[in-house]
Amino acid sequence: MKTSSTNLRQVERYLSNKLSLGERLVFVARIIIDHDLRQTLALHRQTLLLVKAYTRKQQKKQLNAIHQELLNQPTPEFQQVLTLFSK
Amino acid sequence: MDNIAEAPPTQEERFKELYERAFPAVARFVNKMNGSFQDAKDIFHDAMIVFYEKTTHQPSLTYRSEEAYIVGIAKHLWLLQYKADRDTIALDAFEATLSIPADYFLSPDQNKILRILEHAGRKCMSLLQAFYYDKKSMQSITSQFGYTNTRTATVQKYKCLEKVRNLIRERSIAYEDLID
Repeated sequence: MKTSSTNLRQVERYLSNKLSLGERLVFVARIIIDHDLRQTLALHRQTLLLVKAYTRKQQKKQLNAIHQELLNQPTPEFQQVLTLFSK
Repeated sequence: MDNIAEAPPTQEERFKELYERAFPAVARFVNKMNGSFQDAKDIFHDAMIVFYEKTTHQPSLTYRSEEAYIVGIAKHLWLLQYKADRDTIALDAFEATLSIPADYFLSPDQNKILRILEHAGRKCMSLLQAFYYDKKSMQSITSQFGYTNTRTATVQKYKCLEKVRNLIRERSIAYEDLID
């Protein structure tokens, strides 16, 4: 099943608060009666959540690299932390 | 030349500077809770990500100091992840106002899909990240990813969305339940 691009555009505008009040009311009413639109909305929410989670994982990789750098060349404060845990 | 001198720090530079400044405070807290060095690192990384998101999306946010904010989030994470007793961790008035985003921890189904996408859809995910998370324009995405024009980039973005959606459908996440 393909997602209709008109529905998708509406969903994107709804989720980023770009619908006018009138459009928003119509959209909310359509969700109740239009199964396809409801599904598009739910899928898009899940997709955005996965994009966010993917981004967080990329950020974690950056943080791991910084951590490794500090292990290799510790600042005095980082060295103190290492000592704290070695007790 | 002036541009280089005045350029705001990149995300990586910010991470690095904050890491050196805030990690010791979080590590001391984790040590006090009898956690390991690895625990300190994990909690700190999550706290940094939550902090970065909150301050990027709400630039008007006010707080005592970046370190205090990150330590506060770390305390909440510790309470959540290690099911620590709320009485054992003292939260001051500011810390009590902080929270972890409800979508921060994924369900096992979502984790499975994410792992598949990390292996077989990196380019798509980077494109979707640039558009939805970094909120870049189609113009800058077109040049960043080397597409011929914005039309091609838009088509590609649509294909990528379809790819993710198909995976969600296949893995049959109960997405009907997520409707408001």
